[in-house]
Amino acid sequence: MTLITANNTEKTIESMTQKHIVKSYGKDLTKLTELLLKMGEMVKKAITNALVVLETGNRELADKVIKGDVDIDRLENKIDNFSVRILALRQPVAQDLRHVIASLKISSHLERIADYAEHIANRQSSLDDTYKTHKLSILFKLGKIVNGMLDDIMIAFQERDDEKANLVWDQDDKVDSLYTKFIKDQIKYIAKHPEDTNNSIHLMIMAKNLERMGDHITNVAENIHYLVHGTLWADSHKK
Amino acid sequence: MKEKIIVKDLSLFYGATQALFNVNMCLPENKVTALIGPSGCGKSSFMRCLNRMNDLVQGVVQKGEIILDNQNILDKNIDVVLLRARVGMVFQKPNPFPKSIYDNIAYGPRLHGLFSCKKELDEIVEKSLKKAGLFSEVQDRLQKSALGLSGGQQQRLCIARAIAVNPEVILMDEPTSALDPVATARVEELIDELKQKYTIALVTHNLQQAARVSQRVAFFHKGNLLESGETEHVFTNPQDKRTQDYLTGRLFYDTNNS
Repeated sequence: MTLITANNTEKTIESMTQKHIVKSYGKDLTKLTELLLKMGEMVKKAITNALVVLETGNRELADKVIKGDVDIDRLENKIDNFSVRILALRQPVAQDLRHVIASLKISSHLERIADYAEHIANRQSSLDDTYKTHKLSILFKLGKIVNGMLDDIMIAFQERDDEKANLVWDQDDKVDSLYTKFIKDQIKYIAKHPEDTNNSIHLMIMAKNLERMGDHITNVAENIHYLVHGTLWADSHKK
Repeated sequence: MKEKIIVKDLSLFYGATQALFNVNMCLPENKVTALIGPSGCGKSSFMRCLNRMNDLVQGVVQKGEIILDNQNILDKNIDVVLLRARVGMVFQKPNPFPKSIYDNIAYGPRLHGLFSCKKELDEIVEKSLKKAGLFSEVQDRLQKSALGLSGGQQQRLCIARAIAVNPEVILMDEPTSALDPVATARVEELIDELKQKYTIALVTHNLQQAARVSQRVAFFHKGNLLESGETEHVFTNPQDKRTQDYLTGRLFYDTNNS
C-alpha cells in the first residue's frame, strides 16, 4: 500500500510544474489533488473491507463500509464545490484547467467505485449461509486486481504519469476475463444446484460490481491521459 | 480560411535594439487574432508594423515582408496614408479629436475624399456609428463635442472613426484597458460583430478577453513569436512551456529576462 502524504503531493506537483506567481492559486490546486488522493485512499479501504465482509460475513464491518460511503459522497461534494470555486475565482486555463476538469471527472468515478464496494458489503447480508461453499477465489482475485489498479491509478494521477495510467488501463482485460469466467462457472453451478440459485445470483452481481470498478478505473486512466496531454484518450488510441 | 495578411521573416530594429526576430505568421480574413505576451515582448511593435506606424519612430528598420492581399506593405513605394485607411487602428486610450461627434467620424472620409455630397457624408457618419453600436446613443447630439461622451462611448466612437474610411483590417491596441466591465463587454460584442466584415488584430493583456473574442492567438516573448494557433487549442493545450507558464500565471523559466 502506498502512503500518500500532503507533503509528498506538494513536492511532486511543484517539481513537475513551475510555481504560480499567486501562491494561493498554486495552493488551491495542490489541495484539490490532496482531496482526490484522500478520496482514493478511502475508496481503496472500502473495497478492501467489502472483500473482508464477503470473506468473513462480518456485519459490523459491513456497516462501517455502508456508513463510510456517506463520507465518500460528502468528499466528492467537497471536491465538486472546491473545483467550481477554482473555476469561478481563478479562471484556470491550459494545464490548470485540465487539472480541475480531470479532478471533477475522477472524483465522480471514485464515488461510483465506492458505491459498488458499498453494494458488495450490503449484499452480503442477502446471501444464504451456504455461500462460502462457492468457489469464491476468482471473486477475491478480481477484488485484489481491482484494488491494485486503484492504487496504481492514484499514483499515476499524483505523478501525472500517463505511461503508468496506460499500464493500469491494460489490466482491465484481466478483470474482464476473470469476470466472464466467474459468470460461466456460476451458470454451470446453477444448472447443477438449482436450489442454490439465490447465492449464485448475488455473487454474480458482486462480480459485476467488481468488473464495473475496473471500467471506472480505466476511465480514470483516460482522464489522466487528458490531464497530461490535453488530448482525448480515444483520439490518441485510435486503432 | 483565407489569409488576409502574411508576415514573413519580419525583424524590427529601433536603432541598435532589435525588437522583433524573424516573425512568421498569418492573420486570417474575418477573424480576430489576439496578440498576447508579457510587457515588452514585441506584440504592440509587431502590430504597429502592420500599418507602418513604426515609421514614425526615428531610426526604425523593418526587414522581411508583410503581404496584404499580395502586396508587400513594407515596400518603399507604398502610400502609407492610404495603407492606414486600409489598416485602421484603435488605441488603448480613447482619443477622440476635440471636435463634434459628427466631425470625428467625417474626418477620415474628408481626408480621403470618400464622398461627393453632404448627404453621402451624412450617410457614412450614420452607417459608421451604427456599425459601432453607438448611433442610437448619440443621434440627437451629433454636433456636440465628442469629449462629452463616456469613456466607453469615446472608444466606440474611435472604432466608428476607423470604420468610416472603409478599412479592411482593424488593429486594436488594448482597446478596453481603460473601460469598465460593461463598456468592455459592449466593445467585445462589437469586435465580434465587426469580424464579419473586417480582419482584426487585437493586442491585449487581458487573457480572458483574448479567450472570449479571438479565434487565433499569437504568443510573443522577447521579440519572438513562440506559439500561434486556434484560441481554443492555445488556451486548453499550449505546446510551448513558456506559453503555458504565461497563461497559467507561473513564473517563466528564464525569469531574468521576461
